[in-house]
Amino acid sequence: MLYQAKSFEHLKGLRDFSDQLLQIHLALYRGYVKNTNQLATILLNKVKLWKTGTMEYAELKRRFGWEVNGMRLHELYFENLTKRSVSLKKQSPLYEKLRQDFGQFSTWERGFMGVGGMRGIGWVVLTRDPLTGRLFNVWMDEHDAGFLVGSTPLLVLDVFEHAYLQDFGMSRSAYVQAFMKAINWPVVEERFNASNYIPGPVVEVRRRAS
Amino acid sequence: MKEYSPKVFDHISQLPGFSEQSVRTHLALYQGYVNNTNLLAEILREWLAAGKSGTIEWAEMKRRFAWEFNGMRLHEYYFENLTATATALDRQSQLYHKIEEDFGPYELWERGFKGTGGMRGIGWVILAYDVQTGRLFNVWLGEHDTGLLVDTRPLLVMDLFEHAFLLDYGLKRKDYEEAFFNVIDWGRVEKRLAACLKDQPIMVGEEVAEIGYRFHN
Repeated sequence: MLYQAKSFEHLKGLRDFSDQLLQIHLALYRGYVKNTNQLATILLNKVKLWKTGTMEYAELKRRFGWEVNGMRLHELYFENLTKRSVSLKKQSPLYEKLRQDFGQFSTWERGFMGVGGMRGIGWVVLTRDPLTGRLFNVWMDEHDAGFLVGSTPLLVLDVFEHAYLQDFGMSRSAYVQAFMKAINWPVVEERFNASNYIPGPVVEVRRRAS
Repeated sequence: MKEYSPKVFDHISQLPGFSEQSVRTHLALYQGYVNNTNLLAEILREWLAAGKSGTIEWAEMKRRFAWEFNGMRLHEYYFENLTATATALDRQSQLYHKIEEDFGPYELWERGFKGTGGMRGIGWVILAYDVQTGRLFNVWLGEHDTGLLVDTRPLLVMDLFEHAFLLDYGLKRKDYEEAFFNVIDWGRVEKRLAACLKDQPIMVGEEVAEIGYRFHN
């Protein structure tokens, strides 16, 4: 099997979130893992059988990004949650970077939560463009839409209805607030620190072309 | 001026297989689409009048309009093709014959419709009537504003956004589809087909609500 479902059972008892909602959410996540594996296998078999010219192959191929991202985004989301959340340290490089790119931390926060309030289902991602190092709050309309190519996701917020409906009903802002209080900032900082590199390949390609 | 008023769908407050909480949530969500359709229409008009139609904001709000509008209209079709006192589709009906003509046995159509509803991801399933050929299609809409076949009319609409089933059925989407099939108002669907065959528009909210805007006014 290509991918194994990760365990996020430690999130049981997350403040403001019911275990029932978490169970459904995790089951949903496992569905993405299962379907990613299945789809990868089917696609490879079609290549082996010389069936890449078929409609099935084309549309299954189109679907692959949706399943993989559905899996990966959920993993990033669950990973950036914790029962013992503490606020982001003002001395941290991430805090400094947020302040630098958005003016104030609270401005970033307002922007991030504002994207989470957009009508429709999707994801909110704080992501980093490796070419400039710049941070962006990004809205994804679907698992496979709107992600900035090549960027590194730092903080992921699920705003599909399954993420909040059972516990918060239509009070999406209450959900987003609960999420903000459950962020695992050390994980986000780790992702940020790991993304802190000078890009190589793109520059090299450019050099070769000139 | 409010162009659209939320229609009243009291007839589904006691729907077999659907909790009151789920229906209440769903209706509140629907009202949000009505409010936002009105709001967005107003903003777009105001911005246009103010000479701001060349802005990026205007453009993106324009893009969004179909999403809000269809979110409203699709819900109206959906609620309206539900009933607490459902009976099976009459085998002598025009609709039944039309389905068999286009899909083969009725069961095959039903399997296709439910199969479309079992597709992964959120969206809508629509039995749509093609005005140009009179042909019926089971169509998947990946969002309110994507996938609808141009110049077709919706005869039967099934909501497959998570809010439609999560509260009552969790992840058991198939159970929701069964429950949906048990509460289809076939009489309503037949009326819609009859309107199509007579080249009349499919109305919403005519009988379920006295108040409200009619789109032919």
